[in-house]
Amino acid sequence: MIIEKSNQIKKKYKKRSQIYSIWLRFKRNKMAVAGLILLSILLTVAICAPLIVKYEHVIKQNLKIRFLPPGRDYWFGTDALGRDMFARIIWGARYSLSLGIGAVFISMSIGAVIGSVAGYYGGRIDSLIMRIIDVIMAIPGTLMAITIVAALGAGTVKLLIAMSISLIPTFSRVVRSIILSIREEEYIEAARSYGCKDRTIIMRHIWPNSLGPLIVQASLSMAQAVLTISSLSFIGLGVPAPTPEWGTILSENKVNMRDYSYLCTIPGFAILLSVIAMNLIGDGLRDALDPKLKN
Amino acid sequence: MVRYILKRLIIMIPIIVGITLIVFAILNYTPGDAATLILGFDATEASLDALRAKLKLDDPFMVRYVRYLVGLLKGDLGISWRHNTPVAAELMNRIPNTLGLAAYAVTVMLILGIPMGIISAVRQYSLLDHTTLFIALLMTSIPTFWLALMMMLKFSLELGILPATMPTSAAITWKHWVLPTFMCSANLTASTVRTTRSNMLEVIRSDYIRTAKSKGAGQFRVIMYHALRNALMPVVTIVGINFNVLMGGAVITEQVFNISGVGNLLISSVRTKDAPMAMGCIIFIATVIGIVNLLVDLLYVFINPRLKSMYVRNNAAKEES
Repeated sequence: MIIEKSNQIKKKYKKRSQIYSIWLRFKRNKMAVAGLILLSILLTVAICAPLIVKYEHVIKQNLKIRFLPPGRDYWFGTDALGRDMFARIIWGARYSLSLGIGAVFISMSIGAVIGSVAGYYGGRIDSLIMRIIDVIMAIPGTLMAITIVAALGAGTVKLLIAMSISLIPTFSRVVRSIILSIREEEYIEAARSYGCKDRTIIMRHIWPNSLGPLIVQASLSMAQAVLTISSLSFIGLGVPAPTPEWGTILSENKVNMRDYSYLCTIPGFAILLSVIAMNLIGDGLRDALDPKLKN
Repeated sequence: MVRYILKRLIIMIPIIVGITLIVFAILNYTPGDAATLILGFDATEASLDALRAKLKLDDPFMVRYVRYLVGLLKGDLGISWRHNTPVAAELMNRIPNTLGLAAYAVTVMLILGIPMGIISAVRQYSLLDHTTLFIALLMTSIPTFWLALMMMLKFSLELGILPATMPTSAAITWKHWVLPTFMCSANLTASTVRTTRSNMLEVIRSDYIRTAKSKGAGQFRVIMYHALRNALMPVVTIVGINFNVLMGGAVITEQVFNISGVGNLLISSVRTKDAPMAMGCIIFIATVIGIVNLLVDLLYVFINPRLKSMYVRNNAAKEES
């Protein structure tokens, strides 16, 4: 009977894959779950924006209804040109979030490749790549993005390029450090001994094992990217004016802040909520991946 | 020690050369003709050519870059294309404001962040701890330019007690610095609180703290004398890393409050393709970051005697051989 029981327990534990146990630990963290729910709502709003309000409401100007306070018809009021702020904020989620997520995905893919090559091959390639990354990291990320955007000229795509470049060093460092720690593991040696190509080893064996820390870094970097993108737009170096990016909306309305404060409060809250959600998820994942931290 | 400092200063040189190369390349290979930007779009072709010849814009990229580096070695940052004045002089005007802002922000970060983190850890799970953590989360996630707007709304427009923008002249008082300092340090203070708290929690649970407690030392002594030193070490590293972020944030702060600092100058000169000026700004910022990181590393050795003894022993061994 004891054997039977232990077999049952074994069965029970075998089912728990690594990802499932991480999820169980993540689920216990109420703040992190709250962040996940909040971000899901925001992402749904961003994806479903065309179903909620038509884009024409975002740019349609109507000078007869300037500066309407938040009310029944216009939930978030109207701005100096009589545009519906609710529509602008909803569509702003689409621009702000997709830019942040896009920048992180681009830089994560490039950074992962650079970091893998540096960490896996080591030696001269590694030190060359790391020296270049040291140089880039000596310039603050925001400053790097500002310089690139200012030189290329303001624009959505250029902003995306600038943000991605400024985030690459962080990701390649994370990937490289993980690879250095698992490069000498037996299973890598085994893969090499039965004739795997370097590319296969990196993609099949190394990347899945570096996924955890990479996801943590991604969600924290995403928060940072959304903040930087909105601040660049705010100082006029990001998404140009009629496009409803949250930082751009703030920048348009700051002149009317004194008399119509709702024009500046609401877009700021939108940025704050999405960044809080991403930070909560990132912190929660970090704790869930590292059980040592919170016993 | 002196040798270590010298070595670190020498390592900074290739980094600064690399940075100048990157910025020079960005400014050089992006669209927009410098001569047209300087003289305006209605300038004649002849005057444009004359200016290009004067600034030697037609030389190949590497030639101009090496020329710039040679000038830099002589301590010559060049002459601004737009203002026709020496870059160094303009930088000197701007540096006090930027360094001032950074210094105030770091001070606030240390004076507020470390004690809050300690109290929060000592009273873990109390109301105070939860409040502090919540505010810290809010401050790491808040867009600082928006925080600045909201504070301007409250303190400048509504209450009228703090000015919202920086005057250009010498009329700057401490009141002008309150809001910019707050904006610049909000993020960093919050992350200092969080790091201090988590390190303190780790240290408090270690064996030697239990020993100190059991031998009858009071809580204040245990925390301040035994725990703080070890808990602070990672915090010092974080301060070094954060200084990088701070300099980036200072650029945005200078824009929001219209402070005439290096960051403001950098943005306007990159926009107008004023290459010598932009390079000067970047070199200044990179140098400051490098020096602060060096100071942080030295401080690290100072508060962690284990590292110091290791360093001295290594040195002694080298001298013997």
